[in-house]
Amino acid sequence: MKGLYSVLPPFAPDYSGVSSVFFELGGVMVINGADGCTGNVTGYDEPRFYSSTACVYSSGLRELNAVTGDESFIVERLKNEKGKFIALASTPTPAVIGMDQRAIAQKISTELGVPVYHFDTTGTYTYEKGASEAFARIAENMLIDMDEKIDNSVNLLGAIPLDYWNEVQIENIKEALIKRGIHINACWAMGSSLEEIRHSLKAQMNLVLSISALKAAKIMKEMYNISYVIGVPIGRGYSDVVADKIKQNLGSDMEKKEVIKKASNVKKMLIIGEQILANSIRKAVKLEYDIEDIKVASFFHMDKDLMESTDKFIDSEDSFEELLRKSDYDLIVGDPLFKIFLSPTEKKNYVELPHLAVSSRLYWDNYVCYTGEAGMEFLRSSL
Amino acid sequence: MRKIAVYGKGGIGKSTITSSLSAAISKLGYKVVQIGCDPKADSTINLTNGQKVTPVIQYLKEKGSCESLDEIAVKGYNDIVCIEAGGPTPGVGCAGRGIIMAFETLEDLDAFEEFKPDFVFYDVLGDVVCGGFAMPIRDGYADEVIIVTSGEKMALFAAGNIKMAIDSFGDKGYGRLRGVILNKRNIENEEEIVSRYVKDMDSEIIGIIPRDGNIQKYEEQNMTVIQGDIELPISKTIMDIAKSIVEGSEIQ
Repeated sequence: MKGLYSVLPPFAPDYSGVSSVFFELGGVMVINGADGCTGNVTGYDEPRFYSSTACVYSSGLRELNAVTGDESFIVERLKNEKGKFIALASTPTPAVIGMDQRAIAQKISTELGVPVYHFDTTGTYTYEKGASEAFARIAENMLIDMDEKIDNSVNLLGAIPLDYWNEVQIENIKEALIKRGIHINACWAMGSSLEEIRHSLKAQMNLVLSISALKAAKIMKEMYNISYVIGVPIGRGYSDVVADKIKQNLGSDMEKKEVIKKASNVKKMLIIGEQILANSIRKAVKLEYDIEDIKVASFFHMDKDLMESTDKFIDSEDSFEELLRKSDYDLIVGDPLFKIFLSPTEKKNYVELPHLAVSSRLYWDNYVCYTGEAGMEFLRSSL
Repeated sequence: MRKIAVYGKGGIGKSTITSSLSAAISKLGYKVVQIGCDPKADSTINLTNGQKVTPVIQYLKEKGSCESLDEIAVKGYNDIVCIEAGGPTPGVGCAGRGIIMAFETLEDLDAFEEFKPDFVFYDVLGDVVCGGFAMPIRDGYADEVIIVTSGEKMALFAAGNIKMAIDSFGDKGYGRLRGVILNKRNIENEEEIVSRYVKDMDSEIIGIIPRDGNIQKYEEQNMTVIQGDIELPISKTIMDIAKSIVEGSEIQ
C-alpha cells in the first residue's frame, strides 16, 4: 500500500526541524501539543538535548483545551520565561482543530514583550519542511541590516544535527574552507550565537549545506542581494571545488587544476540521503574516481533543479524497494536502517551513513565523519 | 483586493446570495473569485451553469497533492473563478480541518497571485462552529464579513452567534463585520424585527432581498438571476447591494 511504512520508523517530523534550527539560539521553543510530541523532539530528534540547558517545552495542550478552543493557557505558562524569543511550533492536534498559531503568537508577544515566531507545522510532514520555514524566518525577520562586509566571508546555512549529527562535522567544514582562505561569518544554526546569526549580512556569500536552507538562501538573495553556493566540502578535491566556487562568486580568478581519476571496481552507485549532502558525496566521488553512474535518492524533499535525470525522490517503502530491485548497485551508501530492504549480497556492498532524521538514536553513537577534507575516508575502502 | 466572507444559518440562502453578488460585482467590471467552504461543494453551481468543480479536498484525497490550479478551479459566468474547498463524507472526518487544508493548498499554488482578483468571496457553511470555520476570517484571509439572515428566530440567533464570534476575535486581527443582508422569508414585520436585532448587534443592514420566484427559476437552470435577466427588479436590487459593497468604506 503506497504511503504505508511498515518497516521503517517514522522520520523526524516538521516540528523537530523547527526546534533543531532554534535550539542553540537562546530562545524558548514551545511545541504546542500534548507532551508526547515534545518527548519525540527531546528524546529522539535532538542529540544536544541531554547536555544542554536549552528550553524546549510542551504547551501541555489537554483534551479540554482542544475541545473548548482555550488558548490562554499557553500565555499563562510562558509568563515567567526569559528567553530572547519564543518559537511556537504546532503539532497534529492544534493543526486538526485549527488553532490560530499566528494569533496566539501575537498575543504572547504583546503580553511578554518578546518576539514570537510561529510555525504552522502539523507533524505530518518531515523535518526539512519545518527547518526550511525556520531558516526562512531567520532570513526574513531576524537579520540586522548593515553595510559592513568581511572580505572572503561566508555564512554556512543549513547545519542541524538531523543532517549533520554534531559540531565536529561542522568544524570539519569550517576547517576545509578556512584552509582555503575563506572566512566563516555565522553558521545557521550550530556553533553560532543568535547575535552572530543576526549579523549574517556581514558575510559576502552564503554556502548552503542542506536542502532545509535553500529557501532562506533565496530569500537573502532577493532581500539583500547575497549570492549563494550549494555544496558541502567533502574530500580534498571537492573542498577545493566548493571553495573555488565561492571565490569565483567573489570575483577571484581561479587556477584550473587537473585531477587524475583513480580506477574503481564500482560501476553503479546509489547514495540515499539528504539531497545536498548526497549530491556533494557524488561530486566528491566523481572527482576522484572513474565512476560515472551515481544516483542520488531521498525520502526527503528534493529540489528539481538540483536533481540529475536518474535521481529519485522516494515517496514510499514500495518505491524504495522498486528502486533497489531495478538496478544492481555495486555500492550503496545510506542510513543503516535501509539495509533491511537488501539481500545478503547487497548488504556486503553497503556503506553505513547514519541519518539522524531516519534512525534517530539507534545509530547516533556510531560516529562517521563525512565532512571536510577527511570526509571521503569512510567510503574510500569500498570504492 | 478585497476579501469578504459570507456567513449565516444553514439554508438561509448564502450560496444563492454570494453567487449573485459575485455575478453582480463581476458585471461592474471587477475580477471575482468565489470559494465555497462547505463539504457539500455546491456553492458555485449557479456560476458554472452546473459544471462540476472538483473540490480541493476530493482532489487531494484522490491524487495526494495538487500541482496546478487548473485541476481545482473553473472559470464560470463572466470569468468568475470558482473553487470549492470540499470536505469529508457526511458523518465522518473533520470539515473544519478540510477548510484549512484547502486554503493551505490554494496558498501553496499562489492562487491569488495567479488570478489577481479584485474581490474574493468565501461562502462559509453555517455558523463559526470551530477553528476551521473561522479560517476564512483569519488574518490574511477575509477582512470583511457579511451575515445573511431572515427575520426568523433561529436565523437571527445564528447571526448573533456569528457576531459574538467575530467580536471575540477582536484582538486577533480577524475580519470585521461589514453588515447584514436580509434575505426575506415574508414573515410578519420582518424588516422591523431584523432592523432591531441588527441595531442591537451594533451593525447595519446593507441590503434587503425580497422573495422573488425568478431566483428559483434561474437556479433551476443552474444560473444566478443576474445571469438570467439583469433587467429584472430583483437583479437590480442585487446590483445595488453589489455597488454598495464595492463603494463601502474601510471597516473600523
